[in-house]
Amino acid sequence: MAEVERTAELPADLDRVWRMLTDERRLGTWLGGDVSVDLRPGGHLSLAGWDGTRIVGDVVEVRPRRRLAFVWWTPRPFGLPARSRVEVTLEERGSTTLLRLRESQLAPPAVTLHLPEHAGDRPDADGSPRLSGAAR
Amino acid sequence: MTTDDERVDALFSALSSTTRREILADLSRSGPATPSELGSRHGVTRQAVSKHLDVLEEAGLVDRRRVGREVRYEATPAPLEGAVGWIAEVGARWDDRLQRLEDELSD
Repeated sequence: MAEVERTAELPADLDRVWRMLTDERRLGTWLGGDVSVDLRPGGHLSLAGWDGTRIVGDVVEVRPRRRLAFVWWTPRPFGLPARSRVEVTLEERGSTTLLRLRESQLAPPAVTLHLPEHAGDRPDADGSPRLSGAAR
Repeated sequence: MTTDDERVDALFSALSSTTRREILADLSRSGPATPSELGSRHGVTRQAVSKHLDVLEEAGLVDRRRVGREVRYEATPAPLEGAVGWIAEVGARWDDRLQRLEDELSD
């Protein structure tokens, strides 16, 4: 699955960056839209982007001053929305803060591919994958 | 003939502009449009729209069709369908966001 990684050295100390990441209103300022978020694991997240995109997701991890993780659905100009995991990790660098961003594509939960166990090396297995509608 | 790397670069630079991503999303939502229509919908001059459309066309993201005296552009999704398209699109969005975060913290 595809992955995007970025690092940025931010001109502010860790406390300030963490406040920026956890304040609903300021989160929207840099994510680029109106954000509504219940910032605890399992909490709901939505971003109504200024460009008309609407992202929805769930908070996965909140480690104060260290890490935030979400799983979200992003609409794309074409085709199905993509589901991905977003991890923002912070590291103190004196008066600056290193931010590491990783967004990794996840398989859509609505359609899960089940491969028969040991497919291919069992003569009785038909080896063909089957699709099921299992959620997550 | 272009190499894969050149295609990825063209795709990435095409998607690195918020205006171009908006124009592309607009074309895929609302169907083919002329540069003047796109200009008025996105608050940019016709000349600026034409430049954006050239970059999108270079990346294979739009196609132009002449209809009578008009030239209409339509979105052509193929380059965005694979993993490379996802990486270019998502990466371009994060570049914008991280730039805004840096700007916000510089004040």
